[in-house]
Amino acid sequence: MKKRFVCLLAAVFVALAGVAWAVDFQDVTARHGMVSSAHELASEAGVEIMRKGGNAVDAAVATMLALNVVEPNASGLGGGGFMVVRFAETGEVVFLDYRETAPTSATKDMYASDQAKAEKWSVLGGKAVGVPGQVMGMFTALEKYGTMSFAEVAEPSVRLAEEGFEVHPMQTGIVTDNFEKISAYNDIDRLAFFEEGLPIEAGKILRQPELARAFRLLADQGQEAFYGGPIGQALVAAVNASGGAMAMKDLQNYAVKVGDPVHGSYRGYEIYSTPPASSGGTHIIQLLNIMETFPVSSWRHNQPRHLHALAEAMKLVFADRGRYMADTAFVKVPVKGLSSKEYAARLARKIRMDEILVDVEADDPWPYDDQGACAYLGGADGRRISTSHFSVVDEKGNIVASTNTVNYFFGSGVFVPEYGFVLNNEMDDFSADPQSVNAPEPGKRPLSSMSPSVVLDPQGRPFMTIGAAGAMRIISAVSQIIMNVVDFGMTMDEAIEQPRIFTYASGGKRGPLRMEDAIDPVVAKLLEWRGHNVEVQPRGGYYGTAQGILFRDGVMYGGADSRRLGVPVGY
Amino acid sequence: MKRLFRAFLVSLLLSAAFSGAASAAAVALTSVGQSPDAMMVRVVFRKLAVDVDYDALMRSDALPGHRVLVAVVGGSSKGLGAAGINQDQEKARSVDLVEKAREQGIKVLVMHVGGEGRRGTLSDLFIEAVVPLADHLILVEGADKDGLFTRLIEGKGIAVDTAPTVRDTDVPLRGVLARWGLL
Repeated sequence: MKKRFVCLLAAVFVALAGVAWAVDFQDVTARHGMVSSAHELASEAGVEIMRKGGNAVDAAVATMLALNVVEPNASGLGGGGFMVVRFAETGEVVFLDYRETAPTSATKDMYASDQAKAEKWSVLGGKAVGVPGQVMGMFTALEKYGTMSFAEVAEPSVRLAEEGFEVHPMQTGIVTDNFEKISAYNDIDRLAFFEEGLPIEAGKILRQPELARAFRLLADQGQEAFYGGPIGQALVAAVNASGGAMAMKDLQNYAVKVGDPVHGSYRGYEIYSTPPASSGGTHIIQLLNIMETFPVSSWRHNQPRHLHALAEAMKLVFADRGRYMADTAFVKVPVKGLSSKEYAARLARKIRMDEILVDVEADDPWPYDDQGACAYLGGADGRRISTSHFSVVDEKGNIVASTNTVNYFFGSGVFVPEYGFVLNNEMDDFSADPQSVNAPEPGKRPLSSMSPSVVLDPQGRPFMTIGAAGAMRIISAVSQIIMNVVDFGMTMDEAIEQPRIFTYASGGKRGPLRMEDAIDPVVAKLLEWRGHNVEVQPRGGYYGTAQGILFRDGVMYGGADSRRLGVPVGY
Repeated sequence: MKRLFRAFLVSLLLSAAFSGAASAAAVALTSVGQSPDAMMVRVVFRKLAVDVDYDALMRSDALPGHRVLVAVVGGSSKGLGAAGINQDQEKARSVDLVEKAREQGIKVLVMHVGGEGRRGTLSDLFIEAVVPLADHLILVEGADKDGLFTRLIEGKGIAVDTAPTVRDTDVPLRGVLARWGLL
């Protein structure tokens, strides 16, 4: 009798689980050009440049600068990032790495002491600051692939910084949340985000004349103003006054890397994304390779079978990420093995539909690679939200996907007050464990998850450009969005707005299965019954905030995440 | 000569002890829920030129010497995480602090300055724990939209002031401190 009742109850739950949970979405369409970024004014800045005749790279730099103005907490001159560019004419795809590097003063054990951990040296203040790469990234992109000068592409952002823009309640909330951190390292009376010592209120106009001055100086003097001139000198002074040890030679030695993206496929769709020092592209391909072994499109979206397989695959992927990923300039990483379909098939065989993986050790991708080394790294479960992604497409079909960050919102908390921008705390993306392959070393790039990506259809035509913010959840978010489009036929915004899950494995153990509360609670219950350690959380930026553009029949469909203030703008 | 030196030493010690007591602020300021709102209230106190002893994790042994405890309520999971405590530990600390303050005759002012945005399951847990123990309440508009605060203080004789924004709480704050003889 009891068994019958349980069976009946389960049947009722399964039936109820079919009830769709409403998701609001609204794609923006255009035929000539589009920018989808985390803020409408930044998207407009990029479109303004394209309307003036600029290409996608010109528009991308304009968008990056505008994001520094309207989202100063997430990215800007004091940070770094990655950019993937596809040229319509040649079909070539290139990758720009302007990730921060550790300063010369860095040592492998710099964050290992109890004092360093207690005082959060890798997160707060001058010791947390990596050498910023974003300025050189912008100049490199413009010089190699752009058609306009820095002064021209900076014009909308100078205007925006000087004339100001209306502060959104979400932005006041972010300044308020970081009030203590910013107060600890700055005279807040010198910062534009505060009035009478308190965070600027929603509805007020935020003007940033110091930041406009930095843009003008860069336009006049070029990147030298940053890597050898007055902006750099002010930056070094700010870092060192806040407990750090950076020198002008750290800035002078900084170099952007230009190379090939990581490449893989999902059900015939070609994916180009970030290679190490970002783990993102490689692990997105690995996760999709595992999911390719399952009949995902025959399952119902975000229902128990789908989410169970996805969660198990995520655990396997993050277990590998923890062991093998680091800056390839310093460590051998089995990128080919991790992104191989044969290795993914081996991992997929570990997934059982009726039980869960509890102990999850990293597997061995080396036999599927052509190098010969092994690496170890401690895992992490960062809960922060951070970073900013945008995608650009111009009239010729050139595509730019770019993700940029100062790491945590408002980074290290240290501002360069003369020029109005905040400095990153990217050193926190190194491991505190001196034995780790991801331990800090002079000139080394810390491990990232950022994954600006370009997807081509099976005929080799542009299909989608996508990326996200959200630390490790970038990998899970971008993968889920690609599957939503490829397996479930969703539009760009529809795919972005779907509720998401995230889980991982670290130190051989599974993490909790976190899911947004917009996922059907019956599904959550059924997954819990299956043995998953389910944690339902409010829908929000923790699960990644994505922006993307999808191509269908010559039309661009833009989607931008409502978990942030994202808006696509086209023309 | 020896006596003179001894007297000088004693007077020096007494003067140091006295000046130490005089410099202790009459107002103790803490957070209940570890949101950054207490930091904002600290700025408002600065505007009023009133010194406060601020400790977001203040414990009851820090209360002696103070005449007013200002408890700024608002939950933040990020703040709790940064402090390395969970919501139950924070609730226990806060209730103990406020109860001990009352036992010692220290006036308790509870402030909620985050408006409607600083409400929700986590914040409400702390609001329900400390608001009924207050002598006075200062709210920023929007906080009591659903009547939670009104329900919690009903029949308890707790006076309430409301301000449009956190910036404007200086006016009711000045009034309360004046009534309690601090200004």
